[in-house]
Amino acid sequence: MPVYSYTYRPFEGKYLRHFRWWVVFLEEIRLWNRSRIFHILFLLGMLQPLARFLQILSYNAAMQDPNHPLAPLIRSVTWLKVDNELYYHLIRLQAPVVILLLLYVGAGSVCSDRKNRLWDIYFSKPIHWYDYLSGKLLSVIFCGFSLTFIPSVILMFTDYATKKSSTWTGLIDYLPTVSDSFAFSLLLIVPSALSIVAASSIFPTENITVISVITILIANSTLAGLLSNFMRDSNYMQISFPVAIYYMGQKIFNVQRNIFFRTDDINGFYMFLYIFMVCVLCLLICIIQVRKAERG
Amino acid sequence: MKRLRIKSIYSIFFDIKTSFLHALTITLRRDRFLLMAVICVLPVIIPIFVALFSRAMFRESGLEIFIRLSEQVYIHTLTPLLALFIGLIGVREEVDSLTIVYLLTRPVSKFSWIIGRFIAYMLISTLLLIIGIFFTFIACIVLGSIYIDFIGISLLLLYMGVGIMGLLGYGAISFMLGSATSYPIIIGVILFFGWEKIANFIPGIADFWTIQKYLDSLFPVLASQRYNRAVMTVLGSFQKELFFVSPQRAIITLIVISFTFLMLAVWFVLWREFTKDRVVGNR
Amino acid sequence: MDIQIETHELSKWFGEVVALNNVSLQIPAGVIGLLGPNGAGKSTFIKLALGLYRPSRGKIRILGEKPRNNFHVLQKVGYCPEMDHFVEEISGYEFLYWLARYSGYDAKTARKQVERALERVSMIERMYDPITTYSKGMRQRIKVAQALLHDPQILFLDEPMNGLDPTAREELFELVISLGNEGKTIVFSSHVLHEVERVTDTVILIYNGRVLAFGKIREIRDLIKNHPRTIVIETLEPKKVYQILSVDENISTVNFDTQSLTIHTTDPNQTFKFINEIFLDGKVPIYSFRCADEDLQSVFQYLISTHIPRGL
Repeated sequence: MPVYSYTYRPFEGKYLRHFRWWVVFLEEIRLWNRSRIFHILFLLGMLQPLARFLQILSYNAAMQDPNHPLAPLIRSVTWLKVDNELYYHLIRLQAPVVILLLLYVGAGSVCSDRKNRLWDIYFSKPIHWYDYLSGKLLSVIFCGFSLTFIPSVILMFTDYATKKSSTWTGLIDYLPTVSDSFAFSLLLIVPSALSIVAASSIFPTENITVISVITILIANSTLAGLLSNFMRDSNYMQISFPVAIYYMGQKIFNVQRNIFFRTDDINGFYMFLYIFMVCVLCLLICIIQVRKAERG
Repeated sequence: MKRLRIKSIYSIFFDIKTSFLHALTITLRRDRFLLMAVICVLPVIIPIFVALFSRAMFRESGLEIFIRLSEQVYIHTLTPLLALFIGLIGVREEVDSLTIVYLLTRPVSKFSWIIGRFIAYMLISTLLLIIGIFFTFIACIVLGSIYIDFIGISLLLLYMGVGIMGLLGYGAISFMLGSATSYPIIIGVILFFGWEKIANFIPGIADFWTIQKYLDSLFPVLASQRYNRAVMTVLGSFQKELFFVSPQRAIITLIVISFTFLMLAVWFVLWREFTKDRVVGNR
Repeated sequence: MDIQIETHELSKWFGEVVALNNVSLQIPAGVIGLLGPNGAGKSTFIKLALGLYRPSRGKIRILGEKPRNNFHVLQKVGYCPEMDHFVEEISGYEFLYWLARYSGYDAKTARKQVERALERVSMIERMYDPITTYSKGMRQRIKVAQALLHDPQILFLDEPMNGLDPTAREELFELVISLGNEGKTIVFSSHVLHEVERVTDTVILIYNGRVLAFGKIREIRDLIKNHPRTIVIETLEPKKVYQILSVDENISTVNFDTQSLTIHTTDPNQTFKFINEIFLDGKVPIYSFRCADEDLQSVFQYLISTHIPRGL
């Protein structure tokens, strides 16, 4: 009986030593990209940036041409003004559709792999739990950024490009707004992504993950709303996780109008700590669950 | 001679009973049942908190707190959440866990199967809701230092009844969504927490296409007006003109809606092919 | 002949994918092997027979009735699916108990039926353990047990041997054969040829959604007129044997070995006649001769090769 030295061709490629999460990241993006619902939700999320784009175009056109027929009207409407606050409101108003999109892409990220028994396949490859988890989390975060930070940057560039007096050095003026947008997007998306992926690692199906996250979110906000109402003190709204994030956004963008709380004596640090603790808790859940999966 | 494809009344009841008991035993063991039970009794902490920490000069009475908690928390928020949460036991849970094939190849009528599960859903969610409302009522009474009188008891029973009607309506829609779509939760959230809220601000009769309209009609007199908030716009503020629905008409409408959506759920189960082979990695 | 399953121009497509194409069959009682490679359309055929799918075209009748949403049919059929999904946290016993209740049994009878079914698949010892703790083979047995729960007249087993160890396979083979002897109709789907050969000699060959052949293995074999057969002749003088046989124009190729020769012939009857003559003549000793490709593998390979366009 012949004995062959080997039956497979030796691997001639290069092993990825770093950035192994990239494979998981790409695979996730490939999966959503096939879904029609993802495209619909994404297009829905692009409506506001499109409206903001038109706002910037019309505002800049009107402001730079004193004879423009719409100039007096546009000048008189304060909320049409293009300034730092525009990007805060853009990201804030994107939140509901971003959460829906993140729920769609993130809810199945871990539980579908468990249901379809893909963990055995993933962890039989040179992928560790941290590669797997990073790939999943970063893909969800990227998805959120594509509707918040990336449109913000594009809009800033549009604003810069449509100003006649713009010079190359004028771009530097946008850097603080870029960093503010990045920080607020990060603050909005990272806790959302972490909580969704954590729920996905605990619950068995996408639908149960989605309803669990929504239930906790609604229960938290309703409780905060009612407490602030009954206690006649709007500072109780701090308990609400979405309000905490919005408030931190206000602080980042230095928006003066306080729309959430009674007084300005709210300590931003404690609010940040609250968000941070929720993130740590969710991350711990993700790590425990995925490591358990890796160990089999 | 061709045999009639209609089951006997006895076997229909037998199937309903089996489906009901099966759903009940499985659901009561689920982690998410516990999560929902905790969330349902969570509002009890509000009257406790108000009684212990409120320093407001004109704070609400115990009964006022109970009314607002019942309407805003239990009926406007928890009822649709329970419908989506527990309503998954209808069809979607079996489809998601890919075990529906075992049920579809049993000689059980789809009608009985759906009705049995709906009864189980109604029983579980009604128990959760009633227990939550009851404990909130007790907390409001004890901490609000008021006596249990006829008005209090009748309000308690009224809100329990409205809650059950809400579970019926929202539950039937959830069952239909579960059997007709792959993402009933996302669509349900958009419908129950998006459309139902937006419709309240749209001038005209758009709110007639919501469950909340009929539930609000069952609240004590003029309660609906409480939720008709003015909308501030750049052109000024406006308040929607409300068209009232009598409680009798609201009950009949809710029953008709529930029946229609339940029958639609049965029809979708009969019509759809749930066992299409999945490709590995395909969500 | 008692027809159990009847199809007429049955087709099923999913979007642009044709899963089953124009299948017309009349399947009698007995054990039937449904044979074909992965993706051939075996599972689609079974799901159409169970009413889980609606036909895109044509019709299917089980015991003379339409199967879809027909509880009369479902009372008489059992199905062991290919996929491996359960309600994991409950025990095998409880899983089967509820399915028995759905089959129309009261609590007491359901318990009896469950124990009987579990006994048949040798799962009594572990029946109260949660399904999540079961091995692949145990899960497979639970699936077979649930198909047997209500003592069905027709049993559809979709790849039932997946994940079974040799002992369990042997037990399942015995079970299928004994169920067949009890007079049940069993549609046994597999892509492994010897598995099917082990339980039946009647097969339906499916490939690319089309039925290539249906009947006894030998009958199918005879239908293939132009298929060259392979005959192995054991002899100490293979070259001499070939010299005598060379007059037979049907022999296409010959391979020599030290003590045997293998020939391919387009007319085996004629070639066997020649070999018989040499054997009876006794001038050149022939110890044995046999047809080397009488098994299902060669038939299947041949039928597939004639249906696959060149270049694929």
